[in-house]
Order: sequence, then C-alpha cells, then structure tokens
Amino acid sequence: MSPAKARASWLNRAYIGLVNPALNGKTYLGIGRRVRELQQLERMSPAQNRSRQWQALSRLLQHAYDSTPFYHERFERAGVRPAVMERLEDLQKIPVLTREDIRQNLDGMWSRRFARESLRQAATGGTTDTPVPLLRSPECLTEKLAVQFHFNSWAGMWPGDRVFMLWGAQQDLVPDPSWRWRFYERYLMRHVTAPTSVLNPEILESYRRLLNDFQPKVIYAYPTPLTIFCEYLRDCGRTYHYPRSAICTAEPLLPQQRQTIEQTLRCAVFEHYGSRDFGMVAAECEAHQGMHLNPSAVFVEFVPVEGAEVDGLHEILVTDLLNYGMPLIRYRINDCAMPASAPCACGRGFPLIKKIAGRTTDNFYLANGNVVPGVALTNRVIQVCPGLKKVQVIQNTLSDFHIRYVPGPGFSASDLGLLGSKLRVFFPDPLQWTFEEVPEIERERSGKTRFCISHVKRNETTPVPEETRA
Amino acid sequence: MKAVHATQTSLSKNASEDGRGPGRSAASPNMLIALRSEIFRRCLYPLLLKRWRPTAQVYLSKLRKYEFAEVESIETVQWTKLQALIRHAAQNVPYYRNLFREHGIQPEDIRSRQDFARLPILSKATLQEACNELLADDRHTKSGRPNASGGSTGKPVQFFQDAAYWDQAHAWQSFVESWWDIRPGDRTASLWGADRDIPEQSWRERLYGEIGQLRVCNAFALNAAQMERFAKMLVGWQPQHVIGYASALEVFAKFLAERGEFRIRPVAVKTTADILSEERRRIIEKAFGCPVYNFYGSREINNLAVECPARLGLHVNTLSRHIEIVDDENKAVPPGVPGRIVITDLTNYFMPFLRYEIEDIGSWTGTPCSCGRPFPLLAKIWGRSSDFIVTPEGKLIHSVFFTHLFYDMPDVALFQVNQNDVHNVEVQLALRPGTSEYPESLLRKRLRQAFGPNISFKVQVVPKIDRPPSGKHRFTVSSVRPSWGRTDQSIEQWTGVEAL
Repeated sequence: MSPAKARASWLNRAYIGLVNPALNGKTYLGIGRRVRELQQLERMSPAQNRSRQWQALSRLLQHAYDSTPFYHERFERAGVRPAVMERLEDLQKIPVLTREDIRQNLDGMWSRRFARESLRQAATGGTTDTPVPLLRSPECLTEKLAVQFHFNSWAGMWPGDRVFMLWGAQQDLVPDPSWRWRFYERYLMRHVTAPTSVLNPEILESYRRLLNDFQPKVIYAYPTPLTIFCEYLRDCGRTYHYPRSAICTAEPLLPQQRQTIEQTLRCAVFEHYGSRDFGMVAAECEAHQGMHLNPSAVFVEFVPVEGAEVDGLHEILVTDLLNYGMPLIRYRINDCAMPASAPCACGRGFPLIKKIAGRTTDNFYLANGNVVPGVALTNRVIQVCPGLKKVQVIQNTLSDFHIRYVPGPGFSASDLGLLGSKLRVFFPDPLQWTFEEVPEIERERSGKTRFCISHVKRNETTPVPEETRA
Repeated sequence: MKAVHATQTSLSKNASEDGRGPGRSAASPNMLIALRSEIFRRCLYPLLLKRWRPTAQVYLSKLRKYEFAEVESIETVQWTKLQALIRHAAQNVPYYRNLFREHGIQPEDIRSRQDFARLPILSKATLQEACNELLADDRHTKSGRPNASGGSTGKPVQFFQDAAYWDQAHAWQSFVESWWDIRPGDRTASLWGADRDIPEQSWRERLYGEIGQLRVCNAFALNAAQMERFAKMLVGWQPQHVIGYASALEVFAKFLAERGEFRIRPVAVKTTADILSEERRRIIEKAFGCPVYNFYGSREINNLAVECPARLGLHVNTLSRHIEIVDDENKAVPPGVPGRIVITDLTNYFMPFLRYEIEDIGSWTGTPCSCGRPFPLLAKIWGRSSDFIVTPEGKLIHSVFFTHLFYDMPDVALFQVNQNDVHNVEVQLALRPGTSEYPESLLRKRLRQAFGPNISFKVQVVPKIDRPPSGKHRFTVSSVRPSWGRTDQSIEQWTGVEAL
C-alpha cells in the first residue's frame, strides 16, 4: 500500500476534464474549474466566507421573491423584503419550510425564470418519510457535483479513482445490469457496487473477493453495512485489500463503528453528511475534528432543541444556495447537529459541526443467520406505499415484528398489505407482523430519528440446529 | 430564460492571496520542472531508495500495518522490541554488561515496564565518558555511521548509528509525511544546517540535490541577499515540502511576508529543532499558506514524535522509540505534568541507548487523538530544562514567554535572559543598528509582572549577543534547576499584552 494521496493525479484530471463530460454529458462540464474555486474558498478566512455566503443568500431570497409565487406570498405575509435584509433576525421572520409545505405547494415553488421542462426532477429519498418531488435547475446539478467532488477530495477520492461502494439505497442501483452496464461501471467509471439489502457470510465472502479483485483506493459506504463487512473481514481469517480511505455517508457514524473500520481496513475514515434534497452538506477533513459545512452551497441555521439529552444540540434548518430552479429556504431537514465551538485544526475557513444526530437504524438479525441492515429498508419500503406517511419497524424477538405507521391522506388497508409484501422480500421466513396506527413518530430525546429498532442482540441469532427445530 | 447565478461569479485571482488558512492545493511550477520531478519521483526515487535504504520499504509497510491498530497491539510490539534490545545490551555491550553485573540484574528479571523504569538513566555526561564502552561487541556485523550531537550544550558528543537505524528512520519519515499528503520523493526545500553539516554533506546528499529534489539554504547565514536568492529560486521551482528549523523558517517567513512578491505554496511545512510557538506557527502558515507540522527529534535519536493533521499534540513513534517522562525521582509523571524526557532507542543495535536523558522537558496529553491513530500524544516539547527561569515561588517561565514581551518592541533586535541564582536575573538587549532607545519603563513593568516581587533583575544594553556554535540562539539561560514532577508546578502562560 502506498501512502494516501489527496492530490489529483493526471488520471484524475483527465477524468474531470475529458472522460466524465464525454461519458456522462453536459452536467460534468466545468466541474474542474468549480472545484478549484472551492479550494480557494476554503483558504479564505471564516469572516470572508460568511460575508460571501450572506451575499449569496440575499441573491437567492431576491430571486425567490421575484420569481416564485409561493415565496412571494410567503415573504409578503411575513413582512420580509429581501432587498433590505441585513440581519439574521430578518431571515428568521420567514416561516420554516416543511415537507408538507412542499407537497402542498409544488406548483408554486418552482422559479418562473426557468422553463418548467428545463428543470430536472431529483430522485429524492426520504428515509423516514414519504418522498416529495424536488425540481432542480441543470446548472445547479453541476455545482452540487463539484461540491461533492471537493468534499471527496479531502478524503483523497477524485474522479477516476477506483471506488468500492457498499450501497444500501436500492433505487440507486440498476436492478439487473447488462454486461455493457457492468463494463461501463467497472472499467470506465471505475467503481463497483455491492448492494447491502441482505448480508450473510456467503454474500460477505463474495464481497471480500470483489474487494481483492478490484483493489479500490476508496470504500464509499453506509456505515452499518460497512461495519458488518469489516467485522466479517476481521474474523474470517483470510487476506483482504486495504483501501487508502473510507467514506461513510447516509447515516451517522458511531465512534465504535469508526474504530472497527479504521482498525480493520487500516485507513482513515471520513464521515460525510448529505441528504437527497440538498446533495452533500458537510464532510470531515483530515483533522477528523468534525464536519465542515460548505458555506457556498448551503446556509445552515441552528435552532436549539429543548430538553435534549446532550447539551448544545440544535435542529438544523438548511437553505440551498445553489438550486435556483426551486429554492428551498429554511427547510427543516429533520436532523440535529452540534455546532463546534472551537475552529478546526486544519485551518479551513469553512464552519465546523461536531456531530450529526440524524436518522439511525438498527440491524435486524434473523433466525437463519442473515442480517438485514435497517438502512436497506429505508428507501425501499416507504416509497412504494403512497398511503403511508411515516413508518417505524420494531423487532421485538427473532420472529416478532411490530410496525408503527402514520397514515397519509389516501390511506387504505391495502397499503398495509403492500407494505407487508415488500417487507417479505427482505424477510422470507414466516414472521409475525403486527401493525399499529399512531398519530406521530417522535424523535428521540438524543435528537435521533429511529426508523428501525431492534431489541434482538446479536448473540441470540446463532442459527438453530436442524434437529431441535424439527 | 436564464437564471441569476449566485455562485458562478468567478473568484478574483487574488482570492487566496491573504494567505490565511491552508489549502491542499500546492501551486505548480512550470511544466518542465513538474515533468522532471514526476519522472524522478516515479522512476529514479524508488531505485535510489532500493540502493541506499534497502529495507526502508519493508519497515514502511510494517508501519502502515499499525497505523490504525489498537493501542495495546503497538504497545505489545514495542515491549517485545524493548526486551530484545535489553538482551542484546546485556550480552554484547560492555557498559551495560558491567552495569547489569554491578546491580546484579539479569535481562530476564526485567518483566514489565515498571522493572525497566528502575534502570539508571544514561545522561549526556555518561555518554561522553563511556562512549567506547557503549559500542556493541558484534558491531563488525553492522555498518555503523559516526554522528555527533549539536554542541549547543557544550562539547559535541560522538555516537554511532547503523544502517538499520537509518532505514527505519527513513521509513518513519515517509510514513508521517504521508499523513500530511507529502509523497516520497517530492520536491523539498530545506532551511538547514548546523555549521558543520553543510560542507560535510555526503556525496549521496549532494547527488540527490543535484538531481533536483532537494534545495538547501544555510539556515545560519540568513541574510537578505541569500534569502532573496533562495526565494526567487523557490518561486520557479515550487517545492511541495518545506523543512527547516522553526527559528530559521520564521525569519524566512517574515522576509516573504515583508516582500510580498514571492508566492511559494507547498503542501506542508515541517519544523524541527526549535520550539514551535503558536506565534511562530501562525507566521509561517501565513507566509506559505499551508499547514505547519512540528517534528521532534534530536541528533542522538531522531524521529521521536510528530504532529498529524489534527495537531492535538505530537504522536510518539511508539514502534521504534520508548519514551518516558519522569520527575526528579525518576518516577513516571501523570499526564499534563511536565517532566524530563527519557528515551530508549529500539532500533540502534550498534550503540544501544537505554533510558537516555535527552534533556528536554515535555508532558503527555493523556487523551487519544481525533485522527484515530494509536500513537500516544506528547502535549508539548519545552526544550531544555535551562530554558526555564525559575521564580522563588516555584513558577516556571519559558523562553517563549519572553519572546512575547518583545513582540511590540521592534528596536530590540535580540535579547537574552540569564538567571544565575533564584533571586538574580540579568536581561541583555541588543538593539537594532542605528537605534539607541527602547521603551525601558514599559519593559521593566512587564518583566516585574512576569518575575514577581522576589526576583531582582538588571536590564543591560550590549552591543552584540553572540550565537553559540550550534547557531541556535537561546533566549533564556538559567543555571537554576527546577524540580520536575510537581503537580502544583505551573508554567507561566502567555495571556496577551493587556494582562501586563
């Protein structure tokens, strides 16, 4: 293994400038320049970055006020004039934007400066919630990609580097890839994907072989499946390839998980925080003292959470400074964070947050030894049941599952049947399901939203011998 | 229809010229230099490494194996190495053979670190006297290279290191440089040189410099003309790595900031030898626009500890050095309490040092680093014990503290604080040529505040303060020895001019 290399090589530059635009289209044009601009921004002082951010925010507000009926009306009602806005208090007069608002005002939110058909619909997720269709201008896709590339570069990952993705979100994967797609993905885009909806020793072993064959530079993964994979690698007693860095995203990375991954893969672990609505929002740098927000991409407000278990926990409200197609202003993303008090040792001029208490999911351990990471369900199960607003899956014993749900407007009993059949894809064994209708699924006092809760401990899951079962 | 574009506004070219925070992107030199150094790095460097440091690559891969291991596992490795070294010393080294016989110890009796900590400390004086007895009997099997320590404490000490020591030292350096994103074989500019080093450069080093990956500027002849020549060369050459004495780099950084026309943007700066105060770090970071990392080593035993990007302290090289911090009774001090640093070099079998007192003062942080690496952290290296002025109340004032007192007195070119006994201190000032005045009453007020009421001090203006032969200027010279290991002992902290 050669040392970590965070600087872009000639191959990386070729990918940024030539291969990506040629293969993936116009969106990838001009990303290199934009990344270089971001590298300049990170060298500026926090004060300079703040003032630039405020300018960008005022521009966005003015744009929203001028060109979207929804925000025009909303600002009018709140008595906010973007042109004369000077302080944070002025901004706080604007009501918080919720998912419900977007769902109800879809047509009023897109900017009339764009042609409706030029806006792209984003594949939005919604881990604990039903998804909402978001629109984006084509320009902002490029910028969001640049932000992501820039964050990745802190972990030494540039376009063109070999990446092994341990991916939980099924909708990102091509269900039944053709050989052409596989060739494109593996040899041109240079990444391989390992789905993590069900994990058992055979599947993990095949991933180990894939890891050794592919020799990736970076592992890009959901933390829980990656931890399961690392535990397997550690205990299986066979050799495996060590990447140069591991990037964890989509779920909060627990300290225990970080330690396991570091010690098994012998590399630094970087946590990234993003959402489907905004793209990448924050990422860890090489000092590992928290995650840096990118002030040119998002404006984040911190609202103190009362009665939280930990001091300094804040709910975050995000304003997307890049998407002019459908502005999202003071959007409640339903995650909590702790802003850092001290600046990061790396010296970057980007603000730092200590940790994210977002959605957490447990793993489900089944009687046959399979493990189903809760994250695998999040994007898969909820989106197909339009009548359900929120779902929480609780495993009480090996075979006893309890589901709490919040019914949506078009709810009917068939939705539950549909949900059950979707769940049976993951849990083929006869299991006992109970359903309970609840008015709301509350956030925990630690600030976390728990979508999957398992009360089954791992050691209880040793497969039952055939004789005793009979 | 076209949208208003908030972020498309192109940044001005001078956006990063303020040189504040570090960025990862180094400036690139012209194509030819980049190409030449890339060829060197990829083709020639591996060959040279193979030839000159044949086992370095093996050691490097071993280090990588432990980069994120558990603390216990690196401690086990360290203990195994330590036991092997003790056995070797007891068997092959006359000095230790006698020592063990005198004390009636067998190497097998040393079963734990506590047992090991009862061995007597090897002082610099003993090293000078017993130099020949410390050489191992089986040294003819190894190729030793003579080395001598800096004469900053008096007469130089001679000692030997073998090829394995140098290979492992090289491996550790490549290892830590990879933390800072420096690749082996990158272009390096160096502000270096104890006077005797420069003419004595080996032909290898000269060849290496000639081929083009190392440019050296003599740190002890830093005049404006030479710095200008060096800076001009570096602007075209754009080194990825800058190394040097902290004091010399500070002088050079100030020169760069003053002139403003030289834009040198390395990936990382490594400082050694001198104390890297926060002030100094800021000045150097500002001038080079990249992070500055402190590297602690000495001539006798190099590669002791080093900073990672998190910069919460200095990671100890646990796998090849055994570091203890002890008080005056040779007992280990708890984290946070300053004490004497005692080192055992686990890699030098040519001339083994067991529990060598390096005459530096340091303390442990006692906390793990945010970077996840298991190597324990030294909080700070305070330099020599004689760098501290001791007040009768038991307060310690380090030389770095005094440098703060003079920051807003540009007419004072150099100063030295000499303490002869607990109650008497003499402050010597050398003024800038052409000036004869300095804010005397202000300085007296500040000094009185720092020393407290029980010290009488004299302020004296002298025409010139001589540099010691090593070239490192010493701001404080105290002949009063503080007693180490007291938990109530406090090191005077700088709190800003307002406080005075």
